[in-house]
Amino acid sequence: MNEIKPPRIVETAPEGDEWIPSTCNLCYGTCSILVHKVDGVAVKIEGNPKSTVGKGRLCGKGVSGLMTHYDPNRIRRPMRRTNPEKGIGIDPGWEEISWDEALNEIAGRLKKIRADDPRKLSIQRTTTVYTMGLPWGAFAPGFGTTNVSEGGGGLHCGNSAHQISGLLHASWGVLPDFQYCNYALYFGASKGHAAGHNSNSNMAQAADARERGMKMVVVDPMCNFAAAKATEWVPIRVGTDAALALAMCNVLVNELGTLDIPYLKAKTNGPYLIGPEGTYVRDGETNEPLVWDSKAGAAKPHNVADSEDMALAGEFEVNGVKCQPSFVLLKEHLKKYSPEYAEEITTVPAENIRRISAEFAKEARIGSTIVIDGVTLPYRPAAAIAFRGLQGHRNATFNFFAVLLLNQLVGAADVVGSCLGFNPAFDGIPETGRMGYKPKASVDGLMAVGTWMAYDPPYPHPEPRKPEEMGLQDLFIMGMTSPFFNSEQGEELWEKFDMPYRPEMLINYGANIMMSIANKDLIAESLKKLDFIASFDLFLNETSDFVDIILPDRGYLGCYNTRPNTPYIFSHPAGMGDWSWAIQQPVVEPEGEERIFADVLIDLAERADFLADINTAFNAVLDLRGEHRLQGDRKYSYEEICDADLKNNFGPERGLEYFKKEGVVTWPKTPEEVYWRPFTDARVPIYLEWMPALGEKIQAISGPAGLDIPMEYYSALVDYLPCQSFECNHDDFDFYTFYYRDTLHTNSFTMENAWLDEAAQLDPYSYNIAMNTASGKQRGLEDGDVIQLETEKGRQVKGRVHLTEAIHPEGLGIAALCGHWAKGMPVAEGKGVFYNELLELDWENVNPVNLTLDLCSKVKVTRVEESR
Amino acid sequence: MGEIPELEHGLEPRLDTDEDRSAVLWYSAGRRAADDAASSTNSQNIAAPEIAVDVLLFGLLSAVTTESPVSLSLAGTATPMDVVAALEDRFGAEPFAQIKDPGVGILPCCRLFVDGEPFEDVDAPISPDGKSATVEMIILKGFEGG
Repeated sequence: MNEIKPPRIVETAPEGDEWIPSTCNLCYGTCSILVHKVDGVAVKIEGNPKSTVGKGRLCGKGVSGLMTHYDPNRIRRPMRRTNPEKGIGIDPGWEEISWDEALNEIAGRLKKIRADDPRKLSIQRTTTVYTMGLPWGAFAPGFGTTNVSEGGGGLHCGNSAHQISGLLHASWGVLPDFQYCNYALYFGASKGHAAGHNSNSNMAQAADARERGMKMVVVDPMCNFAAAKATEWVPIRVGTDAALALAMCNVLVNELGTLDIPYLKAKTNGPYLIGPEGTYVRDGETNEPLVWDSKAGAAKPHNVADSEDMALAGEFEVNGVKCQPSFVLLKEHLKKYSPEYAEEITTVPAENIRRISAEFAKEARIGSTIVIDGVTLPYRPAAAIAFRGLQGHRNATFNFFAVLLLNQLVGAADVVGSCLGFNPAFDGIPETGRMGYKPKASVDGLMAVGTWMAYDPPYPHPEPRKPEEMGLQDLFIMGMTSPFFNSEQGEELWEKFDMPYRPEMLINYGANIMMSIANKDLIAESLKKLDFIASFDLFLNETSDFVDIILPDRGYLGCYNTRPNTPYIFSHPAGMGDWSWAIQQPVVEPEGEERIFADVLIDLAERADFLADINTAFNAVLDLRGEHRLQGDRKYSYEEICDADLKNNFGPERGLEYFKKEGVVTWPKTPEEVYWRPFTDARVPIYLEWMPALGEKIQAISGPAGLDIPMEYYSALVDYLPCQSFECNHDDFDFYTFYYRDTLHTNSFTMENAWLDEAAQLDPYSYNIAMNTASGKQRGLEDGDVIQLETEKGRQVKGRVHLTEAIHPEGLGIAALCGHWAKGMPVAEGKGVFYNELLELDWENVNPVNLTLDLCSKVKVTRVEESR
Repeated sequence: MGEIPELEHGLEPRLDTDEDRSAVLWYSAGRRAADDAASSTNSQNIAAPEIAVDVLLFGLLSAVTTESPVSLSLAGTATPMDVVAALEDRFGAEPFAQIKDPGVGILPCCRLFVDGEPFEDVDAPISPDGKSATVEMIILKGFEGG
């Protein structure tokens, strides 16, 4: 087993030599760290073994944080542009200004906009590099704007993954219960293999699981991070995962009949009766959905009948209406997904689909139990998981749902060994009981999350309305990150919907939206239209070309964050073990004129006269109670607010000073928290009954505005629907491109880190285009050739090809978001391929349910002649 | 693929091919909830005199009026929904449309505090003891990605 090394903090360290506990921010994994500081200089970063978040380990990105911190290209002083002309590559003519000048100008503009319409301010930030979201969570609502975009990695966020994980597992994402899982089926995910949420802890757990004998079957166009360590790699045509997953569901339901019937009866809406209109048959008195009580021979409301007596099969008549349990409709629906059909779509042989389905069904060990810490629990040591790769397509929601449906069929959901949400249930801090949450039954008996990272949960949904939010999420109410927030395409849609205002000012925090969304020309046009942009940044990047005032941020080694890992549904280890509550704190003195951004926001609130509002927002966001509530329009430092937050949750003895020294507080989880599903009387949908009606309501608003909703995306039963790129049928456009998150890099940011850049240059994949060897040879290509990729619409990128067996013959894999052109990031400049340049940014390429942008494209490949 | 090796966690899973051992575990939460529902008693509405309610509107809602606090006189059983209805009567429905929803009443993005304590049940009386109350309202937006 992988052992955790002992703590490095020593009581007898020489003067000037100290290890300071904090939290990493080189990605959103937010692992707990120790920073070794000698004579005021940070010289090393390691994982903090006292914390379960990272478990004392740190990845290559984390240890390289020093290079970002001491990079001589960092912005250290406020600057204002002198060149009024804005455009890609046009020098803004930066001049240094004082903080007072900068803040007075920004505050003056804020005041004017707030008096007019606060929604004219938009706020953009990223969770990568800067996960300190709480101050923004107070600043934006305190100011009064609802236009906040906070996607991780720009648009390359797990939009649908979060939403469907919330719907089915009450969490931000899913992963196998590594400690007990015996069979893990991955679709477009690399959980536990150096990427994503809680990556270091997951890596340790996944390694232990593989050593223990857990089999991993990885479905992916590329055999990289997870697949390379898997028992079996299943190469799949880009974007077709739903067809495969639904075929596997079909094998389970209609060929093998291997189902957890009691689970389906008790924990899903499988028994709910569906009438001829496709909607629930409801009780006349209570309006609750009806089920057929086999014992009573009559229909009863779902919350009255005993689950054991609920019919999953049959046809019934209730008050003259013919109806069937929704499970019957699902069973029939799945029949069209034969393995042979799926083979045509996915290229995965039908016999392999049947074999893998049978293995998954067998290893689920339906009916078994196990005792954990004295508690008897269902035992289902098989898990099907997915993440961003699978859901980065136009069919994002159904792709993800189809995979998670596999777990529902065999009862492998939030029990021992199964697919787990990350910590959907938490009993609260032991001493105070604060911050606890758990899933609960909501409308129609379906599960609502106990906590969520956004303020509108995945279920139940609000009613769609004529949009007044820049990202249109008030119309597309299942939408989160929106591609229309900062793009010229957004303007077209705002016009269609007669939006009552237009954005005039943007405050950016660390996001590089010129690179992180798609079609940079459309982003540039939208940025040029804004009257004013202020940006907190570490480097002058591609987006800086459009900024009016740049403010130097201190970075994660200079900031406070009292909640880097909470709520625990975001980036905290799942499964049995400990809860850890860590903080982030400044470990080094500011360089130049850097300031803590949270204090800058509070300063702006004071100068723009909304201190009372930001204080109320902090009270709401942090749920401050009693003596810890911020009062009236008093100005607090962010340190004071952090202290209030910690004392509010942990009691008067454990405020900021305690956490500065200790870094982390840890206590054990209980089986009832980790394996909460049997203890919760809530169901999850296997039949999305409300979706067609939702689609019709949205169409009723969008149709008259000239935007038609393709209703097949709003069906109650999930389907495979091809990506837009599949409509390109020209013979010479014969590769599907896809983007993947590199383990060496975090989105578009870390290419400026000298150590990571060096490692990436040594890696044959990071800065190159991966192509199947045979496919390359057929086209006369050799490893190292420079090739040009061109889409049907003429969008082009160039890069060096790396021929490899480890990719599907039709796929082209491009890592991270490289290809920087900004002079302010000289280490990054010109390295790798700017994948997003291939992507269209329009309605045709987004998921019409939640606005996830399709990240694949179909291209033709030509060798650039001079490349050899 | 070969058989799964013996587990190293030292715990013995229980699988009896003739018996579904986990079924009772799946059914138990629903049965417990049904028992709880059967044993609960309905609370009775008690007529109460009117109460004074001061409403403080923050953030985007502060644009509704320069009046702060907004002083209302409401029935002693007034709920958050009644507070919003009274605000609509005074300032018009439009500013409050963004926080209302026919399904869930008041959207979760609108946070309410009554006398400094968060208040989530939009159908519960804001002042069960019939005393005056201060209500704070603010709209929160935004989310994490990743």
